[in-house]
Amino acid sequence: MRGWSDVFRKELKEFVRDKRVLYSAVLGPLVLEVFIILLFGYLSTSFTKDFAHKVVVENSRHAEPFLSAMVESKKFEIVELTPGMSAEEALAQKMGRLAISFPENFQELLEAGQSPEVRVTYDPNEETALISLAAVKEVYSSFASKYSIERMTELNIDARTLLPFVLVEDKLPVEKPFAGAWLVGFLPYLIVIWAFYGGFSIVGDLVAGEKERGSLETLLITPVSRQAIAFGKFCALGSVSLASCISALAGVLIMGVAPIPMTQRLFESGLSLSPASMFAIAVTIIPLVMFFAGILLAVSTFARNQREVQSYLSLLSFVVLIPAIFSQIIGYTDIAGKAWVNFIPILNSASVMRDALLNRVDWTSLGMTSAVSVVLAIGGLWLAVKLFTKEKVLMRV
Amino acid sequence: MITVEDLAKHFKDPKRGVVRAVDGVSFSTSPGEIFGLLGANGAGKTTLLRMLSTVIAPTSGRAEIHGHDVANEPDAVRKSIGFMSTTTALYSRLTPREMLKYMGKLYGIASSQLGARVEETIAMLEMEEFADRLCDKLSTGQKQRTSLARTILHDPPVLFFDEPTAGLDVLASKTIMEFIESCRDRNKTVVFSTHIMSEAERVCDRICVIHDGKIRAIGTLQELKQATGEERLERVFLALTEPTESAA
Repeated sequence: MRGWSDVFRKELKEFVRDKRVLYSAVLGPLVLEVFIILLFGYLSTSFTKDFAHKVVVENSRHAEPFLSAMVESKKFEIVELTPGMSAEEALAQKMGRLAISFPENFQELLEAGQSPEVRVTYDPNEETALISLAAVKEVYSSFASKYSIERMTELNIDARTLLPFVLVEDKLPVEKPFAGAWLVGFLPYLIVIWAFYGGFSIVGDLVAGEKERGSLETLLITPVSRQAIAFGKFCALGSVSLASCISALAGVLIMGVAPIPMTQRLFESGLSLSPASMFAIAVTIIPLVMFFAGILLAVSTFARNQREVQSYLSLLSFVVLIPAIFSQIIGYTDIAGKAWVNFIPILNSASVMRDALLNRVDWTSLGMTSAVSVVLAIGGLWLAVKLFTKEKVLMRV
Repeated sequence: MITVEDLAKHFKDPKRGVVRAVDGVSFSTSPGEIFGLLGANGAGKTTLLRMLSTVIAPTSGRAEIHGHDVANEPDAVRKSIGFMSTTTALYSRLTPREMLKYMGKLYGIASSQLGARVEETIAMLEMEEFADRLCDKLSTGQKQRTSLARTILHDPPVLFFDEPTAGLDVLASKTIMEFIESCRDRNKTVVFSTHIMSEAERVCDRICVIHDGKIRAIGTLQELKQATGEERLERVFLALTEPTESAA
C-alpha cells in the first residue's frame, strides 16, 4: 500500500486550494447551520407570539368570571363582537379563529347555580380554529373544576370524594439533553446529510474528473498500486465529508453560545454533552462517513465523466435522504427503541446520535450500529477498489 | 530495451462485436534507439503503448520492458518507464515543483534525493521562471515542459511519447522534438508514436507502420522507401496502408 498517503496529501492540498470545495464543503455547512438556526429561531418566536389565540367574544361584559380565566391564561387575544354582527360573519371576516357567544344573563344564571349555554362557533376545516378550540376547552376544564370545588365546598361536600383518583406526576431523573427538543431531533439529520453531501463538491473530480482531464493515466503508470491510489482518494473524500460534519456542528455550537435572543429557545437546556455521548457520536459518525466515502468513490470511478457522476448522485441522494428524513420523527414513534432499527443503515446512526444528544448512550445499540456502519464502510471501500482495478471501468470515457 | 511478441488487445463492443485494437504485434528496440510508431488515428498506437505501460492488460502475447514482463512485473515495468502524451493534463492546483515532488514520491525516489532531483529537472528544462506558478496559469508550452519534466523525473531507461506534439505550436513542438532527439545520446530506449510524417522522418531510427492494429512494416526510413519504391514517407505510408483500405 505504498504511496496512499502521498495521494491522500496531494488530494487534500488540491481541495484546500479549491475555493469551490472550501465554500461548499467547509464554509457552506457552517453558514447554512447558522442560517437554519436563525430561521427556526425566528419561526419559533413568531409561532409563540402567534399563539395568542384570537377569539371573538359576544357579550363579553356579561362573561365574567370565565373571561377573566381566559385572560389570566395569557393565551388569548379577546376581540369584542361588533354589535349587529353575527359570529359567522365575524369569522368570515377573519376577526378571530373562533367565536364564543355568552348569553346576556350569563353571570346571573351562573350565580343561580344553573348551567348557561355558551356557544362556540368555529370552522371545523380550519386547523388554527381547532387548536384554539382545544385551548378554550383547557381553560374551561380548569374553570369547571375550580367552580365545582367551590360550589361543593359551599354545600359542605368534600370534593375529593367525587374524584376517582388523584393523578400525581413523577418525572424520571434524566440527564439534561444537549439542547432543546427541536435541535435534538434535527441535529442527527443534519450530521447524516453533511456526511453524505460534504463529499459532493469533490467526488466528481476525484476519479471521473481525472478520467476526463487525462491525468488518471499518469497516476496509473506510477509504481503505486491501484489499491493504494483508491485508498488515498477514499481517505481524502472521507476527510472532506468529516470536515463538513464538523463544520455543521461548529455552526450549531456557535449559535448555541451566541447571545441571540431569537435562537435561545432552541437551546433552552444549554449545551451539555457528556464524554460518553461525545464518544458515541464520534464512533457513529466516522464509519458512516467512511461508508459514504466508499460509495461516492465507487460512483466517481464507475462514471465516465463528472456529468455522469452528478446523474448517479441525484438518484443516490434519495436512498440517503429517506432514512435521514425518517430519523427526524423516529423520536415521536415507538420504533426508536426496536432492535431492528440498529440494522437499518443511516437510520441507525441517526437514532444513536439522537440518544447521545439526549445524553443517554445505549451501548448495545451503539455497538451494533457501529458494526453495521463499519461493515458497510468496508463494503463501500471494497467496491471502490474493485472498480478502480477494473480496466473496463477505469478506461471508459 | 523492449521486446514485444505477438501482443494483442481485443475489446468487446456491443455494436461492432470483437474489436481487434492491437492484433499480434511483435517488435524489439534497443537502448539509444528512437523507435517510431506511425499510424493514422485509431490504428492502435495508443492501445499498444497503454499495454506496454501496464495501464491495460494484453489479451494475449507478451512484452518485456527493460527485462521485466508487463503482465507479471507491472511495478518493475512502471519504475522503468516514462510516459508522455498531450492528452495528459497536469494538476491545475499544484505548481510544477509541487507536482514533480508528488510524482517523485510516487516513483519511490528517496526523500534525501528528491529535492535535488526536482531542482536538476527544473534546471534541465529551464522551468525556473514558472516552477512555482500554479499549473492552471501556465502557457501551453510551459505545461508541455512540465509534462516532460514529470516524464523524466525518475530518469527511466525507457520513454514512451504518445503524439507528444499534437495541438502544440511550432515552438513548443520544437522543444519536445529536440528533447526526444537528445534521448538517443543519453542511451534511452524511446518509443515515439505519431501520425505526423515529418516528425517520424526527422527523429526515428526505425519506423513501425501500424494500421488496423497490425504491423504493416518495420524498418529504417531508407528500408521502407526501398520496399515500397516511394521517395516521400507520406507516399510510403499510403503504399503500406492503402491495399487494406481498398480491399475493405
